[in-house]
Amino acid sequence: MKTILQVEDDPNDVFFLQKAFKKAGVQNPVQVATDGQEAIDYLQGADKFADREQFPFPCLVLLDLKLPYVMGLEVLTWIRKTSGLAVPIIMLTASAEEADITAAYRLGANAFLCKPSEASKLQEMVKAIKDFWLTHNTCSREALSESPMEGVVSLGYSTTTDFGPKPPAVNGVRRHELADAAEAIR
Amino acid sequence: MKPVVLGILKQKIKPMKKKTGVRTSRKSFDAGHRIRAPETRLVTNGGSSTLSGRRMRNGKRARKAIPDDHARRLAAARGLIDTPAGFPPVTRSDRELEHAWTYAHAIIEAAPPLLVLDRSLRVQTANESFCKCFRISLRETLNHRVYELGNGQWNIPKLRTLLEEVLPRKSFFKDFEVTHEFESIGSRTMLLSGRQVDNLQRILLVIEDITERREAQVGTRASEIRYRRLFEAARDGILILDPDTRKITDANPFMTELLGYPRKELVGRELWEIGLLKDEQASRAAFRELQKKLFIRYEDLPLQSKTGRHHEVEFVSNLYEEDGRKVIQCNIRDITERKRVEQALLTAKNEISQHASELEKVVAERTRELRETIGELEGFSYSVSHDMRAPLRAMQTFASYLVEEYGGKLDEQGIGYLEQIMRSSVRLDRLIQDVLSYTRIIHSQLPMEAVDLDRLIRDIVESYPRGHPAEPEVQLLGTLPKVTGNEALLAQCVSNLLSNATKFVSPGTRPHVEISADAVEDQWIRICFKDNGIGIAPENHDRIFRLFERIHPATKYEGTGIGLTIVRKATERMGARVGFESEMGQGSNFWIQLKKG
Repeated sequence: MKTILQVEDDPNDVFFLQKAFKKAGVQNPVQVATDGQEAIDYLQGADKFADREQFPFPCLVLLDLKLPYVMGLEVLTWIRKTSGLAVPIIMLTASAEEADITAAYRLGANAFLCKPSEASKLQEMVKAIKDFWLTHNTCSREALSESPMEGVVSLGYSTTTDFGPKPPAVNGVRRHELADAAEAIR
Repeated sequence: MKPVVLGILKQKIKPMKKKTGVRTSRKSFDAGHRIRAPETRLVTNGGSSTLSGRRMRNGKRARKAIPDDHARRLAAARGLIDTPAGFPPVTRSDRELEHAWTYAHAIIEAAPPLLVLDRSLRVQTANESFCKCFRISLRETLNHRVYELGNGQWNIPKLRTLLEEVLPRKSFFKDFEVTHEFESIGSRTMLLSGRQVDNLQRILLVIEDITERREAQVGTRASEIRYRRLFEAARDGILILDPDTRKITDANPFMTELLGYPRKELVGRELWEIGLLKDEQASRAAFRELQKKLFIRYEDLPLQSKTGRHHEVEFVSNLYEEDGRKVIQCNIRDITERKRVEQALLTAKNEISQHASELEKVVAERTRELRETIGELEGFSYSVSHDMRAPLRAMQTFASYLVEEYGGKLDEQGIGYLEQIMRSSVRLDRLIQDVLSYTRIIHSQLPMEAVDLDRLIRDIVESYPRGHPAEPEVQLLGTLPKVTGNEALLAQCVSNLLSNATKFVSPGTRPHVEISADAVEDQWIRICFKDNGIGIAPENHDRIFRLFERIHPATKYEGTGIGLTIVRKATERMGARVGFESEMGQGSNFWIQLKKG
């Protein structure tokens, strides 16, 4: 069973999703990165995530937008532009702001889902994820390989973006930067 | 009677030509002589005339016979008649006489208007010039008393005095100026000269019309005065110079005032001597240029008055001819004040532009601050939507898990409390979302475009949840037109209005909404949402658009009190209008009015 990577800083949401997965009979192991930098580290297999046995490369990333240190859209940018990884990414976030939706798709997200407030709706959504992304959807072989980072062909994207430690972004929304990034892409 | 010498007028002896329409008299002598009368312009009157004095038309023959010997001899002398037997031959003195007549006649014709009067002041002779000048025919003139001429127009008191009082005493008068109003030719000014020719018992009256000359004189004098006044009163300094000597020949009072020199000190000096040009050399150069171009102009010339006061002057000089004599006119305008004002203006302008740039800086700074504030506000909204809603979502979800998984362990009251928690959190979530959409409407950039209202509203109606027991009935009347607006905002408006229209109905009533569009004035479309709801009491009409204002308790009709506020703000941002008509129990008709798309 391939691993799912959930990038989510809210333990409640982590709990709800895992509960819903369980309820829906999703067998795939779910790894959680609680901030953007951790997600990048995980995908890179860096530091504590170096052991791919323990931390396999995911077949699906569920990515929240509002994350500490490195925001969801920046993680997305890193995955698609910097690394050129072909892993499917589903944005899973609290609110659907038009600017976020557009930016996410432009940056290469595969789906955009809003976290429902009701347990029943969350259950429906998780079932849909299971049916589509985990059942019908076909992933690229690259995403399924054990260490895709080694096989990544450089797409010639700039790798100058420094995703090193950022000042704590507790409530420090950097939406403008994201909007700017989205604008630059446009 | 003696022959009237002056009565014999210009005569040309030539073969008679038939001339019609020309005022000529043809005379011929009686008695079958083959005389062709000469063309005569001036005609004498009186039977005693040697040549027939009767003016004839159409070549009629003069009725009078030539009375005397003398005339016959004359005629013979002119070769006009054959010398019949018994007439003495033409003598030398006859010829001289004839020459004298011709001469006299020529003089008369060349003279100004002239009348020959007899003692009773009847006109015996009038020259062509008289007839022409005073527009009177010979017939109306000859043998009439002078005062009667032209219906008594010549009854001029001064003329009377001259003819009746002056002449008898002095035998002549000369150049008496008389202005008289003639009926036919208007006011004329005449110089009257008269002379009594005693031996002929005739009076010569010469009337010279000098009206034009007088008018011209008056005109010239008026224009001279006018120009002199201009010269004297001008608020520019004017100098007249002699181009040859370069010396000032005249200066107007303003110039003397400007320079502080009396006129007599200016006259005779050169320009450089009064400080207008730097030195003699500059003066000569300026004059050379003036001779060449006939015009020179200096924009800023420094000028120092006699008292040492500094002026800035504008100097314009023209060279022109005046009656064949060259004259230079210089106009000197004191522009010190203008320069001062210009300088002040420039300073003011600089100050203003400095202020403006400072202001721009302030505006830029404020704009930046405002942008920052808006950004912070947007960030705040973003935070609210993500961070504030997260715990709420957790509350809701945990509560629903509680009901689902532990419902069996709770009694009815416990379940009721949990449901209350869930309802409250749903309500808080909706409130947060509404506030967020309101702030989004206030701050976001909204492109205006043509919106297909029909499609938009049909889409919204289609997406309504079906199968509800009191499923609203929404009816679109006709095809709705295109309007100018922002699609997202319009969708929000329509959605909110529809939601209100279907929500506020009395229990048990199936909501019914009728959507229609009407053209209002030329360029507006009004979209009406007519419902069968409970209506709005008049006292609440002012309240419904206010933020968080609710007319009904939440227990009866749920809502956040933001829906209509959003509609109002959204229409405002689209340059549109919103309004309604409603009565209690009669339903409401809400409308939004947008520009045509």
